[in-house]
Parts: sequence; structure tokens; C-alpha cells
Amino acid sequence: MTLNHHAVEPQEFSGNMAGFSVNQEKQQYSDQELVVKTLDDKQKFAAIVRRYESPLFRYIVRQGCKDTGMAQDLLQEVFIKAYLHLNDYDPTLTFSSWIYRIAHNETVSHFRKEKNRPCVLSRGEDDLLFERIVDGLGLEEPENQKHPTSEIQAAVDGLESRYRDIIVLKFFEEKSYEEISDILQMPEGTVATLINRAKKKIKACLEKK
Amino acid sequence: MPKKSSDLILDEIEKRKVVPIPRWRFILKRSIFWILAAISVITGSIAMVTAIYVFLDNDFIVDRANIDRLFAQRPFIEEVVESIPYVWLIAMFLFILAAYYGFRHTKKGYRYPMLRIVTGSLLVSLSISGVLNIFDVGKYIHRYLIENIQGYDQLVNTNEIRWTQMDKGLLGGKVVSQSIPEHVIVVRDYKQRLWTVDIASADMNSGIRIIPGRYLKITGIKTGPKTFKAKSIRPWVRRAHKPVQPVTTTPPANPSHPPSAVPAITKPEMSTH
Repeated sequence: MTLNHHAVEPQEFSGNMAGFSVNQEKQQYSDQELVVKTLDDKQKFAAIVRRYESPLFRYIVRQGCKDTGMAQDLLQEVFIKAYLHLNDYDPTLTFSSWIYRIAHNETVSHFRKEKNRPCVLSRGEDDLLFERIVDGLGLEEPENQKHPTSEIQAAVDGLESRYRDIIVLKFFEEKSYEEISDILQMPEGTVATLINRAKKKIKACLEKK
Repeated sequence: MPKKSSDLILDEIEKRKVVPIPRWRFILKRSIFWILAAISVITGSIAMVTAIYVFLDNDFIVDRANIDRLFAQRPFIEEVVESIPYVWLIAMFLFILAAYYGFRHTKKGYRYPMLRIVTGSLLVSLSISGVLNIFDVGKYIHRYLIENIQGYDQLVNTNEIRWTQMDKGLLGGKVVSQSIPEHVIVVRDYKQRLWTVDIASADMNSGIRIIPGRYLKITGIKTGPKTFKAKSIRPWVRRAHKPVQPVTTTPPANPSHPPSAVPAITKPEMSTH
């Protein structure tokens, strides 16, 4: 089943579903509490879906899934897998990191099966986010010599996937080192090293132009 | 009005009859990785203690006279390098890798850098091997393997091989029986061959007990296909001891080595049983 992305606008979610108000759940319960409640009542999972569908959808797209339908299918699989593995959730981690990890693994595994991973980050709504990368690089550029977004995008797209994944999480998803460590399942020191290397590569690429 | 995505996902969950996997299965999975890590560290320490035993059970380490002789015969470093039990070190390395793999797949194992996990595993293995060494576990494992596992003697340069050169006056092994009135003992070498040893004129340190089950290092002369006349006997111990009294033995089989007062300790050609 493919979800119709256009029919689903995350901002519109406010209605009652299965006898409870999603917004009420949103405000009332933490992620951890919702997980516990979902294990007793499947319907409560709707609140988790509503809370995370927008950020996860964006994340899947930013990982390179440009086909909206495919991204929706992947999103659906992410939620189903999360539901299936709900008992494996460790409350000492943030739920966000845990579900992002599932999304990351699901997307990577999809591209592995396809043997093709597109590497074009979205322009438009992410334009401002590209500037964060430049800020993060510490490039002091005069206003008239600023690198256009297209150049930054090309530099990020040119990175190997392990660097790009980390840049997406750091600058687009605004995750902390600890969260990235939990999502990508690597030590925080490795996260810091990869970010630094990625920055150097982007900087070198931008300086060439 | 189109269905909301949460409804669609719940419908799909319903349709596929998805139910959360029970918690015990995850606990079991994590436990398996912890058990793998623990077993690997323990087996790694067994490999380590055996490696330590094999390396230290060398006459060039425990016997000063042999050190001097070895210096004269060939570079000391060469002897040391040859005596390193590489097979055990490789085994230990593999077990440490297995421990890393196991630990890495525990719930929060990914948070620790490889170097820290490997160093930690090594330190734990070292500590355990220290305890095992007190109980001579390395010795028992090594002896069991060399006496029972074909081909093991070709994987390690061990003292048992040095002391199985009867033609050069060296016999080492386990006492299997004795006859005190006749001054005869039967010694089994590591290749399971039985030797009748005449100990009537053997020079022994006072206090040495020759009883079945005891391992001995005997110098002397091969007098027949299965007989040996002992000149000196000492226990097969790893700790330092006084050098044996010089004895006269048959000249070495290799003419390139001049006859010496003390039998030359050289590595024989490897045999395949």
C-alpha cells in the first residue's frame, strides 16, 4: 500500500482518531509514555506516527529518496518496523534517535537493494539549511563572494555517503553528536571525526570553485 | 476525505497482523552477544595463558648456562623470536576480535571506540590469564594438546621438541612407572613413545622425587632403540633453577656442531609422526 503524500499534510493533523485526540496525546504524553501505552493499546501508535511522520519523511527524502511515493512507502515501513520492534526500545535513549535509526537503516537498506543511491539534496525549502553548513565551516566570506547554494549542494552531494549522512543529521536535522551517535550507532568521537573530515572536504571543494 | 497517514499505517499493521515482538526475544538476542563477548574474553585469556606458558617454558629463559650457550650458537634474539607461540597469539587475537564483535552488538556497545573495547578485552583477558597462570592452566592445556593432538607440535616451537632429541642426549617426558630396586624408570615422551631409562648413575638434585606422573628432563646417552642411560635428571619446572652438572654425552648427530661438555640444545627437524 502506498500512502498518498499529497493527501497527508502533517500540519493538518488535529482530528480525533479512534476515540482520542491526537493533539491531546501530543501534549499529554512523552514519547516514552506513548510507547508504553502503545504496547497496551495499538491505537495509541497513531500519536507516535503523527508526531514523527513529518520529520522522518523529510529525513528519508534528504537521504536521497526523491520519489515521493517511494519515500511514503519507506516511511510506512519505518513505522511498521518501529511497531514490530517496540519492545526493543531502550528508554535510556531518546525515542527520536531510536526511530531515526530505524528510518536510516530502512532507507540505506532500500538503496542497497536498488544498488543505486541518488545523492541530490533538495533545494528550495532546504536552501537556508545549506547556509548552516557554510556557517559550520567557519568560512568568513564577504557578502559579494558568498558561495551560491548550488555550489554548496554540489559539494555536499559529492561527499561519500557516510559523510553525507552525518552532514544531513548535523546540519539539516540539527541532531546533537550524542543523537547522531545513537542513530548511526557509532562512537561520538567517530561522529566528531567524520563531521570534521566532511567539513574539510566541503571546504576544499568550495575553495576550488 | 482522504484517510490520514496514521490511519493508513494502523490499517496496514492490522492487515499484516503485525504484533510487537516479545521483549524476551530481544533480551535473549542481547544476552547471546554478551555471552559471545564473555566466552571470547575467557577463551582469549586461555590462549594468552597458554602462550605465556609455552614461551616461558624455554631453557634459554630458565637456565643461565643455556643462555650463555645460545648466545654462542646463534643470536639470542633469533631464539626468542622462534620461541614466540604465534599460533596462540593469533588465537588470542581472533578471540579478542570475537569479543569486540559481541560487545559491539550489545545494546550500547556501539558507543565505545574499537580501541577502547579491544584494550578493555585484552586487559580483562590478561587479568584472567594471571589467575589461570597461578593454577598452571596453560601448562595443562599445552601438555594435553601436544600429547593428544596430531600436528600441534608443528604449530609451536616448544620445549618438548627440544627435549625429544635422544640421539643428542636429551630426553624429556612423563614418568609412567618406576622400579626402585633396579634403578629403572619408564618415561613417555610427548610422541607417546616409551623409554626405559637407567638412572643408577644419574646426577640428581637432592629432593627430586621421581614418581609416576612427574615430568622430567633427562640428559644422558641413548643406549638402544627404546633405552636410555641417564646422566642427569631434573624436574620439568618452569621456574629458574641451578644449571645441571656437566655430563658427557654422545656427540651431536650434526657434525657441524662440535662436541661439547653440555648437550647442545638445538631444534630438531620437525617430524610428522
